[in-house]
Amino acid sequence: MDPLDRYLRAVKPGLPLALREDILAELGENLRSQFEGRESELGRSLSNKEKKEILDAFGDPLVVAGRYQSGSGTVSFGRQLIGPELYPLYMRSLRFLLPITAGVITLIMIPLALADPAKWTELPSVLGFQVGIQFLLVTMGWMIVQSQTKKDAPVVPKPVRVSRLESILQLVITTAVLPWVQTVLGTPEYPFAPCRLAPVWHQVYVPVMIIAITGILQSVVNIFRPEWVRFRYIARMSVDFAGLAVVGYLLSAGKWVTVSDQLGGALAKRENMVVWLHWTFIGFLVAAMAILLFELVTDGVKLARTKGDPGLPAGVSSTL
Amino acid sequence: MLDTVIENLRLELRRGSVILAVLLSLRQEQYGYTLRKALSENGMEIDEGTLYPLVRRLETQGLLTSEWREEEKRKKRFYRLSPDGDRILQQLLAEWQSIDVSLKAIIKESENGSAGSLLKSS
Repeated sequence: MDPLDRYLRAVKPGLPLALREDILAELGENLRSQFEGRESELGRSLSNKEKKEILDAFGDPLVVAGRYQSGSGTVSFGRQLIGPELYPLYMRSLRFLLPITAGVITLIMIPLALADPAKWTELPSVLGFQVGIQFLLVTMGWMIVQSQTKKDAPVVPKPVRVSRLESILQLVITTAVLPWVQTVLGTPEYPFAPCRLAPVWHQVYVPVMIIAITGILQSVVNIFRPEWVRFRYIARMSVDFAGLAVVGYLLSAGKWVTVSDQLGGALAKRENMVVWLHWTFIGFLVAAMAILLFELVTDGVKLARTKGDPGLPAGVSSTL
Repeated sequence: MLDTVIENLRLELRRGSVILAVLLSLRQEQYGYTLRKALSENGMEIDEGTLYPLVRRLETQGLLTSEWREEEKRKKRFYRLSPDGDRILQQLLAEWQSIDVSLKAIIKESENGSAGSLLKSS
């Protein structure tokens, strides 16, 4: 697909619905004219890479789309913390992440409450606390982005950098997963009615927590230092490598769940369930291994490509 | 730190004048890309990602009119200053000139003041 079409497709969802097609047609035409202007300066056609550089300089699709939102709100406390340009993106990230957090926490709490009915009373407070934490994290993340965003910056080619939006999403998702890891892996033989997780899951609790915390630290660093691209790849490769070791250890265990006597019923029924769970876990672990291996290789390739990158001149800040 | 402060103050200073420059440039009909080029050729660099939504906002406020028209076998959206926009532009230009006169007077006074204190100290 042409880089321009891809760019317009990325802008489209953030545009006001009633004007969407009209804005896209105008934006597409202006960008085509810009390509042609550059082509006549160079006396040749632009490569896809050169077109992409122009589009990158034009701005992050989400931010560009946000600028077309009229009557957008702001978040202010004395002074403006999140401006109208980023407000639609802020609201969208809240709408995306808060239901996920609520869903994950509910999924964690339901098996716990099935095992111990007293836990039902804890559900509202746990849910409120976790959703509140996510809300604060997202709001603070967008406040940082806002403080770094220049609304009227002159056009300069953007150097390679880690997207702050991506770092914020990574931070929020990993933080949301952390209590789940703590609950499920931190409890020896976690009950998952009518089964229990095998002891091997509890054995990997500490390494998994270290991996998750490393991921959180990496995303926090890249929110403040988006130009540290090599740091990000090295940190991610370390996490991928450690993840592979954990998955390899889990695979070598050969037994991942024990069926409790509560299941009752015929022996054949229990054996069928054990076989089904056995193959499900093998499938899950092999898939996880393949994904981690793929990420390790792609991050390694990207790291090699950034070798010798002079980085950013001092004082240049990002606009997402 | 100081660089950031200067950059923010510079942007604040430019923000209002960008609107004035856009309205002045659209006394002649133009579409987005040629408007950006015209501004740039006169030393008023503005990020396209900011300019195009700004032009639309000015149209929504009734300061500009626009129409889709075919040029070189492609449809483009051309903008022009509306009669209301023209009236507002006159008022803004008068305001700009008044600010300019005031600032020049303040600069002159401050320069005279600093020259006077230099003479005193020597």
